[in-house]
Amino acid sequence: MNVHALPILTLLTLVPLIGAAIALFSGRHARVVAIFTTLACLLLALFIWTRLPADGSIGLVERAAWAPSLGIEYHLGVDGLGGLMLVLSAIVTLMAVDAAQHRVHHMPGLFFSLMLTLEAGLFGSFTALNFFHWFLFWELSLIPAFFLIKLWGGPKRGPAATQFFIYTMAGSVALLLSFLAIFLSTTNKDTPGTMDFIQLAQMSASGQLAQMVTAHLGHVMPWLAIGVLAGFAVKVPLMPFHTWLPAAYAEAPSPVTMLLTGAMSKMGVYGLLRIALPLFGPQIAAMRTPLLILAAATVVMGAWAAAAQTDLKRVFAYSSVNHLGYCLLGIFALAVPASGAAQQASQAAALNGVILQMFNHGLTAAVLFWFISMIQFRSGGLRGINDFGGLRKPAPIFAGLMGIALFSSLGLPGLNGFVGEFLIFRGVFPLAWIAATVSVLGLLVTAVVILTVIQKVFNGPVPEHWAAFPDLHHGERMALAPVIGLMFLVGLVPQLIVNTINPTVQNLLAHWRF
Amino acid sequence: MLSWTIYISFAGALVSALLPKDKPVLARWFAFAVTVVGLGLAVAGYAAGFSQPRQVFIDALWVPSMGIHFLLVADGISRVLVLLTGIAAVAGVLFSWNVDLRTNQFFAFYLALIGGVYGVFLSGDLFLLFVFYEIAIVPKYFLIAIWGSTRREYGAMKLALYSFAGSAMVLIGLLAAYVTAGSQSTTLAALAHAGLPVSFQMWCLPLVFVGFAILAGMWPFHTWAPTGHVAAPTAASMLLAGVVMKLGAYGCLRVGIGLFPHGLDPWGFTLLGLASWRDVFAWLAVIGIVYGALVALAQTDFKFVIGYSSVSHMGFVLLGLMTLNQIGVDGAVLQMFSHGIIAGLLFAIVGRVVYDRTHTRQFAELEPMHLSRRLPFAAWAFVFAGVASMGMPGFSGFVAELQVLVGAWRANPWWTIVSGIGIIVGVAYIWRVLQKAFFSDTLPTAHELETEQEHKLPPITWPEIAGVVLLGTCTLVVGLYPRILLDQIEPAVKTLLAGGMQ
Amino acid sequence: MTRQVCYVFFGHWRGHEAAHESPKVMTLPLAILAFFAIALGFVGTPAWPWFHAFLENRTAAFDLHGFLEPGLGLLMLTSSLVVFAGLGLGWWLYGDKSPQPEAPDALEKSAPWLWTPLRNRLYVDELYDATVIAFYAWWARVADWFDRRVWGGIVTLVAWLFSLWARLNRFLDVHWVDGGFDKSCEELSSGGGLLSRVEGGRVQNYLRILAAAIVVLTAILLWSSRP
Repeated sequence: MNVHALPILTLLTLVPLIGAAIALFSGRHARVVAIFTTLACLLLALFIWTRLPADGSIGLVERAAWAPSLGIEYHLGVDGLGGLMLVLSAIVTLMAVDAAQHRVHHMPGLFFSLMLTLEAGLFGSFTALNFFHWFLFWELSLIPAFFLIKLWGGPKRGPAATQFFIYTMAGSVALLLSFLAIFLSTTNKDTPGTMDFIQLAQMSASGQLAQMVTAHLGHVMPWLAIGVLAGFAVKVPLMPFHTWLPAAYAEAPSPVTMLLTGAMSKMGVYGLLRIALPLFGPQIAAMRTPLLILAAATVVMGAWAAAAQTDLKRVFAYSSVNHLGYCLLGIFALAVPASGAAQQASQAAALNGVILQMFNHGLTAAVLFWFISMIQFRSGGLRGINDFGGLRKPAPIFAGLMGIALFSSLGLPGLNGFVGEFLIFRGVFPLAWIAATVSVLGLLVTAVVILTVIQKVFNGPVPEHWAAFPDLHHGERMALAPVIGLMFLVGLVPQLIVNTINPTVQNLLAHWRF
Repeated sequence: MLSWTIYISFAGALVSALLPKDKPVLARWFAFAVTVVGLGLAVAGYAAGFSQPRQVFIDALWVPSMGIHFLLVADGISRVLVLLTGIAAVAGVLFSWNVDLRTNQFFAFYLALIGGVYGVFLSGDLFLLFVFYEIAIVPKYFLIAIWGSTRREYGAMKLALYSFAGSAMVLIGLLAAYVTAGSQSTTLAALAHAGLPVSFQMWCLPLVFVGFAILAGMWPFHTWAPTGHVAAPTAASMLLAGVVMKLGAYGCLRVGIGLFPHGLDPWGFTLLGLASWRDVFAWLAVIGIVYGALVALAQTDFKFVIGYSSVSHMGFVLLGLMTLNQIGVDGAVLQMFSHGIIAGLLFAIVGRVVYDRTHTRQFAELEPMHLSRRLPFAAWAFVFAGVASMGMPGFSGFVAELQVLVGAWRANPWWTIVSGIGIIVGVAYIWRVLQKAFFSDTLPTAHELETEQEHKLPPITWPEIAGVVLLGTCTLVVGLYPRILLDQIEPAVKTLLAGGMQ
Repeated sequence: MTRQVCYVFFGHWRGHEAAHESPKVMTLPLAILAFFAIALGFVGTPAWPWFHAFLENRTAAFDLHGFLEPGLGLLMLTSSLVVFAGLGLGWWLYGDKSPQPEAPDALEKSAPWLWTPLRNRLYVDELYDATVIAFYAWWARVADWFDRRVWGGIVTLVAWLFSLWARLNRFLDVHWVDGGFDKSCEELSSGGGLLSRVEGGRVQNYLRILAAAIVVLTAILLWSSRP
């Protein structure tokens, strides 16, 4: 079997859809179907990871004509960035399905079917190289997410789910309109326009794209950039377009929150790296200062708002905003015309850090919400930060493992959370020292927040009613062990990932123009 | 032999009227057979169209002294719309399976309406087109007045009056064009090549365009649509929104733009920022998009929401027409097909699946009914249809809107930007309706649960499932593989815009 | 440090139970550590600058002249003097005394102005609480408030504005556009009603009008033909 002839990326997207169809009619056994499907996807994703081109270019390409007069083409491919996101999505979905063990009381078939559809949406958008295909999965993944929140969520799930859906769609419409303008500009009398990301990136790098847009529509390039950024600003999110996030994360059932924070938020960052920066480099560079201010605000205010929360899910929701802010910081900081090897090295460091942070935050945040769901299950629904105390005594293993995850989120060297943040700061300090300095506050505040959580939940005296708090049982330990192990592994040996993504980083930076 | 669709529809109408009144089963199966045959012909004719872009079916002299021909032709646009009619006709029959009152007459009027619509799409002669256009109005009136619901006489009369007003305008334009072209012939091809003077076109176009656009639901001549749709029985509103509104748009394209293209040229002066009839109609279309969506957002009656959403979507069609470029007009035609299917699906769910069981369309009464539990088929079918309606990629509406928006960017960026607002509001009103009607958050009280057990809602029948599957498949197929329609639309639009023969 | 050593090891026993020597497993490692703690001091001797040499990539030689580095002698002397002064002060204050735990400290008795700040850790914790911690908690509330009221408020405002616009348009549609149509239909109806009265079909009315018209016309004819 010739591996290169097998459309493995299409297969990867199809497997969860088939699994979803089976799960829909499996009733009580839907979770088993889901576990098998997500395991299969994980194996496929890891296989794809090993098959990535060594020079960091796009590999495993699949192309077919679809609707040429509209520039629509079936074009799939992955490089290090896409491949890493595929692995992350597969891991996070597997974890989420595992975490949904006791949480789904009604309509389990539909629940797991929706989760698998969401996974297909993630795979589809990370492998797409044509706008139509990418946008299709970008939008479609909102529907299962909406229903997962709406039908199984907490008391205020209706408004939370609705705001999440409509807000994200509004951003998407702005993105669509801007992209259509781009498509129009690349049309000329004989050839239809192009929606191909790679082709458009090349045209942008050579300056041709800006010329074409100006010829067709006048000086609208900055506005188009803003439109495209708007779509991603809501998704990542960038402050102040983030208000949908705390409510959605808090009201969603925890397995769904794992998916939202672990993988869906990365769609936005991926979009910035795949679409916004390559096509609108000079425009983003021109808007760099306000964007850096917003990114720094996201980092700092996200962390500080986390400090004021009493609901554990909201604490980590805001903490997610903070951690994704580092990605945004890195992205906007590297949007400068590189002048010299030192600056190029900083850009490479920042970009490597961003991609690593995407993976690490996805992993860590998903695990944290998994732990919260376990706490909630054991406590009969409570998850306030002040509801607990001294859980370290009755549940030492739980405290230990969650402690590891918490310290990773804090950015302790030796765990995975540190490497991404370190590289980002390493890259951003020379490029944008003011934003970097301000963002350090975010690191400090996050540390305080995390330590406060540890202190209030795990340390201190044990109230009477928690003396019998059950520790992790065997099955849960087996499920968590590989994930925690992975945190140590990536934290201690980040080369495992960096060796594959660094060529992609160099490749991307070589083609971007600011 | 696409022309046979017309003949068998009218023949079927005649036969259906003669069927016994008290045997509804006979009437509905007969109507189903006729419409399925019509669909089969439409599909076959469409497939044949790939190799033969322009088909002439019959060209007989009808009134030789006036040069009126009984001329039936088809190009890509006509074939797509005939296909739409075929699909909508079958779906309409499926969703009217439960009509028990005077069923034979119901389907007689229904088939007559279908026949008229087929006729309009296939006419190559302006007079013939007008005749079929008028023929289609009469059954509409009766369908609404006899089998409708809320305020049916008022709705039917309003619809008829608006339609006749529009037709009157078209008739004046038709006669004027005929005379100015030398009173030789009324075929569309002849009139297109008659070299009508620009000054003539400048006033004839708006007259004819507005006349047709009334039926297409252009703002501010749209208010017949919500009232009419609400008053009509399910099948009639499916056809009304799905196909009849397209008659107006088709007339705008084929007659308005086809015969009087220079009517859209710049006037030479600017008034309130408008420089031509093109600008006027484009802005009216854009207003329709946003206005229709906003009003839909504020409704309390389920069907009114869908009625206004039709106004909003037809705005896209009219906007696409006014872009006057290949991709915009392609999008307009595709949107005609797409909206026909999606509107049909929406009205079917609202009317047949929900209203016929709950006997209410008010959100205040639907919310406590928890229809997502009691009618899951309706709820999820509506999710599907609603998502298609809001322009989600993967469904036909997205490709159509994409093309219209690109065309609009080229013509005037402001049209695009304002339409974008309409799209966002479109998401909002669909999502509001979805939650209010099906997925409300209020938990049922014990008393309500008891009542539910006593008054179980009738189960979903096979015709409803078949209808939903038919329409749903169409929108999905076109959404994922738009070339299946675009490959015929594009050449036809190209020829039309180049001023070639119809 | 002297205070600690004096209180713990010198003076007399103030404890409750008998103290006993630790087992070898503790004392042996302690002894080793103590040896190295002392010996390590000699590793950094200026007479053998091995670390400097390592940094400069050359070999070091043992040379007593290293002690003659300028300023080094003064530094060593000052440092030693300060240590011995501290030892002396400590011994003077605390040596060979074993006060009861409740009794006030020797320094507290002799120099309370110095004792109190030292006892309260130079008030650093309190300062910290009042500044950084207080700011942290306050800013957390600000961030949360901003998030809920300002950003969240803007989103709610936008949604409300659209809802208002929607209702306005609906009002427009029902009363003006639709209403306009209905009104004009009514006018037409009543106009038709009026006209219908004219065409009543009652022949008597027609004859009456005819008769009246003849009278009027005759009158006009007669009037206009006057000379």
